[in-house]
Amino acid sequence: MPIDAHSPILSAEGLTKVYRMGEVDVHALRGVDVALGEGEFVVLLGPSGSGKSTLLNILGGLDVPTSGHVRFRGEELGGASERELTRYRREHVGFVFQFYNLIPSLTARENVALVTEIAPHPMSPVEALGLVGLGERLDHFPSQLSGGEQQRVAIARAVAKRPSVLLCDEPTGALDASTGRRVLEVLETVNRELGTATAVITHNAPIAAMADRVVTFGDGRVTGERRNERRARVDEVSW
Amino acid sequence: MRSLDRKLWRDLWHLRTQAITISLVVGAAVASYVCVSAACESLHRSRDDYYARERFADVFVMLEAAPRTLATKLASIAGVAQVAVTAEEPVRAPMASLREPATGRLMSLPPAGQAVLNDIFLTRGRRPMPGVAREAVVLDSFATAHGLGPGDTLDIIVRERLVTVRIVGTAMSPEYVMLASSTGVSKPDSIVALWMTEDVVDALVGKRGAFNRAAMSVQHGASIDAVIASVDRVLKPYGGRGATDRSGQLSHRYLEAEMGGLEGMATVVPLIFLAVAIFLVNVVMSRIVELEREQIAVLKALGYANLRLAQHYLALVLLITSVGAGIGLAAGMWLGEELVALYAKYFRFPVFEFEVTAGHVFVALGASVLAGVLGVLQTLRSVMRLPPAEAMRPAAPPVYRRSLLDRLRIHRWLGQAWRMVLREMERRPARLLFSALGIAAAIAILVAGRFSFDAVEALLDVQFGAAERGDVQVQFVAARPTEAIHALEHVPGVWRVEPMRSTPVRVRAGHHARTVVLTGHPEHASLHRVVTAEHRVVPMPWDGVVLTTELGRILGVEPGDDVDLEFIESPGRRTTVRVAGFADELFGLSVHARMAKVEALMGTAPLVTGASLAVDGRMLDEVCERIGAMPGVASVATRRSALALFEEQTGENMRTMTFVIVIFASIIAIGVVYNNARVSLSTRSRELASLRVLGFTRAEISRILLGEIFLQAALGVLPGLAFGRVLAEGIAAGADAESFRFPLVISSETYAFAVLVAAMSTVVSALIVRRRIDHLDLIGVLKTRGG
Repeated sequence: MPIDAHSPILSAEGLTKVYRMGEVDVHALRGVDVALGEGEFVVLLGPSGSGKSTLLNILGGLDVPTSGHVRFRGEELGGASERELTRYRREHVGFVFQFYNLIPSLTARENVALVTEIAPHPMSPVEALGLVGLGERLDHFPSQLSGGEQQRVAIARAVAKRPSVLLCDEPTGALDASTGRRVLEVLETVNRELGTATAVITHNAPIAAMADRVVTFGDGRVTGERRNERRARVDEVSW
Repeated sequence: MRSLDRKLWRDLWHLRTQAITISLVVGAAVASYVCVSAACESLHRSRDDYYARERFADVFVMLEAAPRTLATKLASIAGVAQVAVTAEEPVRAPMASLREPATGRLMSLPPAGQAVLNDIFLTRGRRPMPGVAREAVVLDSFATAHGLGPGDTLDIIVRERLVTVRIVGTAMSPEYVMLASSTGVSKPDSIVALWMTEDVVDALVGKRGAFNRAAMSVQHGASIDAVIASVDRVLKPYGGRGATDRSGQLSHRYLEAEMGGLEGMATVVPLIFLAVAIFLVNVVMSRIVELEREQIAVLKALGYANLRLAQHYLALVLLITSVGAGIGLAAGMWLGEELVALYAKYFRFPVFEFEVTAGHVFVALGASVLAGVLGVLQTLRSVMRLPPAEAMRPAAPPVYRRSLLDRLRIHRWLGQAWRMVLREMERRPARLLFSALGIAAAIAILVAGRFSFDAVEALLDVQFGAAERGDVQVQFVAARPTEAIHALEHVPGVWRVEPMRSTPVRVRAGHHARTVVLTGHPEHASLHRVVTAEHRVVPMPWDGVVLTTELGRILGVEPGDDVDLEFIESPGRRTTVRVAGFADELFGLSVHARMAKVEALMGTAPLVTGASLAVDGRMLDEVCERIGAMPGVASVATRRSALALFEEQTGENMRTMTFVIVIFASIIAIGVVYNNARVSLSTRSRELASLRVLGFTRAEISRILLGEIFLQAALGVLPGLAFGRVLAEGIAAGADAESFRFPLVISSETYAFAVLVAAMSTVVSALIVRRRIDHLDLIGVLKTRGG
C-alpha cells in the first residue's frame, strides 16, 4: 500500500482473526493489509460487523491476530508477550471507545489521572481536559456528564499520555449529530496540534470527508481506499 | 492518592452492605478462634504456673499404712526427684444447707509448714501451728460457699467421730483446680478439704508416724511408667493400691478433658466460618469482576498491567477481611473475658487471667488474609485472563441447556417463573451447593450449640424422672440400725419409706481400679432405682453386683467375671464378687447390689445410711422440718429444691450461650443468603426488568428471585440438621465419660429452633433484597449494555 507523504508508523499485513462467540465461530478478519502514517488522519469506513473493531483492537495491542503481521515503527507486535503489549499500550496508544468506558466511580480528572499516573511523559489531567474543552467540569463524575462530555473525557484520557497513535472506535456512535461534531472537532484539534496519527472507525460515511485517507471495509476485508484532495472542516460535515 | 486507589475506596463504599456481611463472617471466625484458643492458652498458662509454684506431683499412690521413714526408700527410686508422704483420711462435713454432708479429705501438712509437693496456696489466714490441736486450713471454695473464714469452727466426721476444728486459714490447692469427686464435678459447697499438721492428723486417725499416701515428682526425662512400677514394688508389702500418673488425679483429669474439648472447638468452629467467608468472597468478587468487565478491559487498554489490576481487586478483598479481623479481634477479646469469667467459677486458680497474645493476633490476621486470598483467587485468575478486546464486546449470552429437570419433563408442571429459577440453579450447581452448605453450617451450629442443654435436660429427666422418684432424701450421719426407718415411717405425711445402704469401695480387676460408691437397694424399690439412659429399670440380681457400663469398660470385665471390692470405711476388709450385669447409667461410676448382698459382703448386721421418701405434697415442709430435727440425720433434701437449683444454674448459661450462637449462626445465614440474593439480582436485573416491561408484576418477578433464595435455603435444612447431629456426637464424645455420659438426645425444639433462626435470617435477607427489586430502574437497566 502506498504511503506517500506519511512514513508508516503502524502497519498490518495479511491479518486474519477467528474467534468464538458463545458457540459460534466468527471470521472477523479474512486477510487485511493496512497502514497508518506519522501524523496521518485515517477513517476506516464500513458497516457493522465488517471487522473494523477487530482490526483496531489488534492494531492497538488489545488482541492478537490468528495469522498475519502487525508492526509498530517496524517492530513486530504479532509475537509480543502480554507484558510487551501492555507496555506498548501504556506508552504509545490512545483509545477512544463508542461507549466511552469511563470508570463510573472516578471523576473526570481522576479518569484522566488513571493514565497520567502510569505514562512516561504525560500532560497534566487539567491540560488534557482543557484541550477537549472540559476545563470547567474537572470534578464531575461520569453520571453527572452528558454523553458528548463523557466522550470528550475519554478523548482527554486517550491523548493525555501524548500517544503516537490514537485509535477511535465509533467515537460518535452513541451521540447526536451536533454533540458528535463537537467530539470530531476535538479529534481534529488533537491530530493537528499534537501531530498524533489518528485512526477513526465509523459506519457514518460523511465523516470520511475530514480524513487524509479513507479505507472502506466489508466482510472482514479491505474493499477500497481513497485519498481526499482536501480535508473537510468539521462544520462542513453533516449527517 | 492514586486514581486506582480512589476507585478502590469508592467501590468499597458502594459495596458496603455486602462488605459488612462478609466482614462479619470473617469476624465470627476470628472471634471464635481468639476467644476459645486464647481462653485455652490462659488455662494452660494458669495451670502450668500453678502446678510449678505449688510443685504438683507427677505420681500419686494410696496405701494401707507405712512408716514415714519409708520415704527415703521411695526417694532412692531411679527417676524420682522428690517425695512427699502424707496421712490422709476421708471426711464428711454435715452442713445445714446440704441434703448430703459435704465429702472430702483431711490431709496432713509437714511440721515445717510448707509441703514438699502439692503445697497449698493460702488465700486467707495462716497455716496451722504444730502442736496446737485442731487448727485447720480449709479449702477456699468450700469456705467461701458456706461463708466460713479464719476464726470459725467446722464440724467434720472422721472415722465416724464428730470432730470440731478451728479454721485458721483458707487455701487453694493444685489438687482442687476442679472440684471433682468420684461421681463427677461437684458444686463448691459439697467438696471439702482440710489441711492440719501431721501430729494432729496422727492423733485424730490414731496412727503415729505412718503415712497412707505418697506423691512423687519425676526427674526431667525419666520414665513415669518405670517410676510407677518401682513404687508399686516398694509399697506392695504396705498395702499399696497402685500408683498412677496425673491422670489418676481427679481434678487434673477433669481439667484435661475440659481443655481437650475447648481445643477441639478452637479449631472446628473458626474453620466453618472461614470456609463460609471464602465462599462469600468468591461469589461476591466473581460478580464484581463480571460487572466490571469493561472497566478492567479499559484499564488494560490504558496500559495497566495484569498484576496491578490483580492487586487492586485483592486489596478490595483484603480491606473487607481486615475489617472483619478487627471486629473479630475485639469481639473475641470481649467474649474471651466472659468465657474466662465463666470458667473462673469452675476452675480454681489463684491467678486466672485472659490474655490475647501476639501469636493469636498473628494467626487471626493470617487466617483472615488467607480466607480473602483463597476466596478471590479464582476472580484474580479471570481478571488476569480477561482479554481486553473481548471485554469490549458484550459478553456472550450465558449458555443454558435443557436440563435434567427438562428431560424428566418436570418443568411441564411448572410455570415460566419456576423454570427460570430451576434452570439458573442447575446452571450454577457449585454455587447452589455451597449456598446450601452455608445454610447447613448455620443450622448445624445452632443444633450443636443447643444440644448440651438438651442432653442436660435428658440427664435430669432420667435422674429425677425415673431414678430418683422420692420427694425427700434423707441421709444419716453414719450407718444406723433399721429402726431408724421405722422412725421415719411414723412421721405424719410420710407415705412410704425406702431405705438404702451405701458405702465407698475400691473396686479392682487386674491392674484397673476405681473408688466408687457401692449402694444396696431394697427389694421392689420404686423410689430410688437404677435406671438406664432409655429409662429402663435395672433389676437387682439375687447374687453378684451390677456395675455402671462405663465402669465395666474401665475395669475390662464382662458379666460373669469377678471383681475385688475393698471397703474403705472398714480398712482391711476385702472380698471378691461376681459381676451379674451392667446398668447403662448416665451419671458417674457405681456398683449396685441388693441390701442383703451388701450386708453379706461387709459382714455386718442390717444397717441403713439413708432413705428415699414419698410424702404428701401438702405437708412437705412440715415433714422436712420434723425429720431434720431427728437425731443422727445428716441432711434432708427435697427433689423440688434440687431441680430448682439445677435449673437456676444452667438457665443463665443457656441464655448467654443461646444468644451467642444465634448471633453467630445468623451472621452466616444472612451472609450467605443476602450476598447470594444480591448477586442473583445483579446478574438477572436485565432479565427481571425485561419481564417487568413485558407486564409482569413486582410480586411475580420477586417470586422468581425469592423463589431461588428460599429453595437454596431449604436445600440446606436437612444436611444442616444431620451435620448438627454429627457435631453433637463430637461434643458428647468429648465429655469426660467417667463423670457422665451425654445421651445423644436432640429435642425437636432444638431442631425447630435451628430451622427457625435460619428461616428468619433468610426472610430478613429476602426482604432487604425485595426492596431493591421494587426499585428496579426499568429503562436504566435496559439502556446499559450487557452485564
